[in-house]
Amino acid sequence: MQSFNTDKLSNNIKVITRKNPNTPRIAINMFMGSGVKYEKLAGIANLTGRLLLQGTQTRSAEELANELDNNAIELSVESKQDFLRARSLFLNEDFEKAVDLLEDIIKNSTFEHLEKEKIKFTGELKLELDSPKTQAFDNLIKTMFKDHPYGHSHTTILEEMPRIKIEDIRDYYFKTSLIPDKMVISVVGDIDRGEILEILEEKFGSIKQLNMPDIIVPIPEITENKTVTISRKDAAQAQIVQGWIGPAVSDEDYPAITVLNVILGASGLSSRLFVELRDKKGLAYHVRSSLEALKHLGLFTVYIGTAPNNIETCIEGFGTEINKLKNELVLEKELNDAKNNYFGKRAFMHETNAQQSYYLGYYDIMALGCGFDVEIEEKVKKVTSEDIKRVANKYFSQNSVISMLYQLK
Amino acid sequence: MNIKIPEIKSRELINFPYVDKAVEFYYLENGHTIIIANKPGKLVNISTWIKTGSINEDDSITGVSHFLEHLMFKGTPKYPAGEFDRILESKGAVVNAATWKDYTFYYVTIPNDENNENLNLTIELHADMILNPLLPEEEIGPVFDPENPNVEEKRERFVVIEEIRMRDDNHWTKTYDEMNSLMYKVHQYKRDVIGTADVIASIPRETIVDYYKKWYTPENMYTIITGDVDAKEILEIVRKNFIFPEERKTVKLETEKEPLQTESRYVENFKKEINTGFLMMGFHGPQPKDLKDNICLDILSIVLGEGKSSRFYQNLIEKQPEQIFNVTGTSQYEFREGNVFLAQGNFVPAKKEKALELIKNEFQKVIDQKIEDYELKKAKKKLKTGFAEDSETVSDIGELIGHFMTVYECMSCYVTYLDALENITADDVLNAAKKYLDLNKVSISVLMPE
Repeated sequence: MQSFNTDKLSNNIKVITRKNPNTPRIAINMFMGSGVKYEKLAGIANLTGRLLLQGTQTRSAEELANELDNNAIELSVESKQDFLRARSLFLNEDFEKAVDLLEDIIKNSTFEHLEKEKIKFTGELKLELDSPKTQAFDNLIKTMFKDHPYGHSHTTILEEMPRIKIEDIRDYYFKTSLIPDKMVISVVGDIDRGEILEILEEKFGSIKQLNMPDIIVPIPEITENKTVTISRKDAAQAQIVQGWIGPAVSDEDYPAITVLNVILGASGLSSRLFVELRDKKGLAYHVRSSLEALKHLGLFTVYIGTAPNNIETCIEGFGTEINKLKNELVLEKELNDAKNNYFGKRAFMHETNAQQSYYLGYYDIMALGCGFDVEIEEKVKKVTSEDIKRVANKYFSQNSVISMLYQLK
Repeated sequence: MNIKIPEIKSRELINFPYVDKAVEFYYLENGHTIIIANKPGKLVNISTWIKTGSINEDDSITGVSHFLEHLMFKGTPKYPAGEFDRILESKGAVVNAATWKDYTFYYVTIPNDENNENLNLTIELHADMILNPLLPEEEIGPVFDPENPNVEEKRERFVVIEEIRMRDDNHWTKTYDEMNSLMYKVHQYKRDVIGTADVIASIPRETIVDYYKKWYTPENMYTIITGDVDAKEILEIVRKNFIFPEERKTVKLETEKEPLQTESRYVENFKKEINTGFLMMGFHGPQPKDLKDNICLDILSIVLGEGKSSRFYQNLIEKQPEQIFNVTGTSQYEFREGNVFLAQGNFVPAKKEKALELIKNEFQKVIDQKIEDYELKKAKKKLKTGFAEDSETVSDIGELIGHFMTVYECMSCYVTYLDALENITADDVLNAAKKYLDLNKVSISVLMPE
């Protein structure tokens, strides 16, 4: 992985740059350290992100869309649990235009079409919830993170969105998001650092500093093992997802659980879940584990889509594989294979300017520093079989939630 | 066994707009094509595309191309089932395969090292998998009755049937499949690539082996290596590894001719417990090689339905006083024997009639009036940017080449596309709209809550 530079604008916005010569498109990621966890009502963060593309003091939503598309500039805004992110991707020749447009939406958005946006967003959420898998995951999140800042699932948003007012959006954006101390801009492409810094200083260096209120994100307690079930008459498959609270991205257990995840169900076609439940038992097409490492805690899940008469076999299968990790040391070869798999996937996830720009900024906004994108490799190299057994026992001995969706007979 | 390394018959160099060095095409005597594209970076992509897919099937073997794709991972005499995945994934590879109407392809993306150890090993394993699959009975699993699936040995047949079931739960896929079968009455494209549970549960191993031998011939194969590689060296390694265990002669594929569609067709299906309506509209398009018309439809897709500045987004979503559509979009699907121009939307079920009226109205407008100059300009810029986008990763470049070789059957079309694009006028686009996007020739599939 090549090197990068970090600089600060005069108002303390951090700028990370990496020059990749001979690449046709430049990627900019602007992170703000607020995220869904700062919203008072579920939906505020997402609506804010959407409204950032719905018009500024001088450009209507349509004019903005036209200017972007006429120049083939991609610009989107994403709201995640721990950050708000604006992402832009464009041909090298359009750098100035792209930064102009980014400046305009970041500084001059009016947020005035809130009611219209609520209606559009509601429609899109309903469409997503028509997918049985999405619905099963939604129910898992809602159950695991009840009344918790990380629990703002699709259905929670649908419930709370009608109460959101434009002041909520403005407060969220101007008082907890647009705060230079908590902002990172990462630029990767065939462009010089000096040129980037000059234009970013001009466009964003005068954003005023504010104090960002602290927020406490507690670790939710799952008091008992729970199973929640949704019955859907149209479902051909049964959806099963089991979730545990895992470590935060900054936790010392993060590298070990990352390797554990590869071994259990994230390596592709050779993971334990894939081999045992798909190859040997023919229970599913799609079976996997995944780790979502957030700033304050993590979410570890195992998922399978199966025939309704296989539900018990699958849950038993999950249990067998989890217990194996808790009771048996992973052999040296499997451990090394998993690490190499992880390193290869990392290369795969860092191939484009857009991906590199994302990860450099991501680790920084998660308070790990942009260098963590490289340090993580060293940390993963040091993981031992004992570490894996230890984290398996630590996290999988806690209570879990199983969310199922199927056609009840 | 014939161990002779196939000779090179001819070589061709083609310059791609966003690839540093000319891409090298080697045509071997036995018909196999080897393609090497240089891309700086750590990753290499190795793939083989076989010009066979659901277009090579009939009712009795529907889904066999895709089922075979699964079974190709089930071992060779040298590497038992699971070894291919385990060995390569333990070196950081991303391994997979895909089947579509005109092709099947297998790929590996892997970080390379200084001595090319990973690359050489991948080529060996990949070639072995393509040329010497065992397709073992015990991995396929016993024949069973899908209505009564209580067999002890659940193997790959069950995996594919779960994949079919998974697709049943995907409402877009359902809507597309229904539209597809509306569009074709006789042509092989009428069948779903995934096939039916009945055939997957009962197709005998011999039929699968026969299909493999018939279509996995050197002439139908394109092996593509993309990455920071020494072309000369890699060419030799690929040639040495791709020695077919027996002679396989290519049979010409005969397809049914689809009669011209002269009327609009409509189908409505229902699903319990969904809260939104799904809509897809398909029009028969040009052959991919018919570059001018093909480009005009790419332009129309951008103008009509791609991005927030598109007519669909602005007129069907943003400017409506009440919510009719939740999402809209258009795209052109490229197929060797005729493209499909596709429009799709998800809508509020109570507004179905209005939704249909609005979306048809947008098609009528591009038939009645030329698109605006700024729209044409925008579409050209987007299509040009797409060339940069398609060359960003080793897998993008590999897929681009594989797609052109098997669908266009013409690699130079990729390069001439840009020149042809420059010369397209709004009149050309209007003519193409009139020719292809005629509402009297559309097939519409709707999925509604029951």
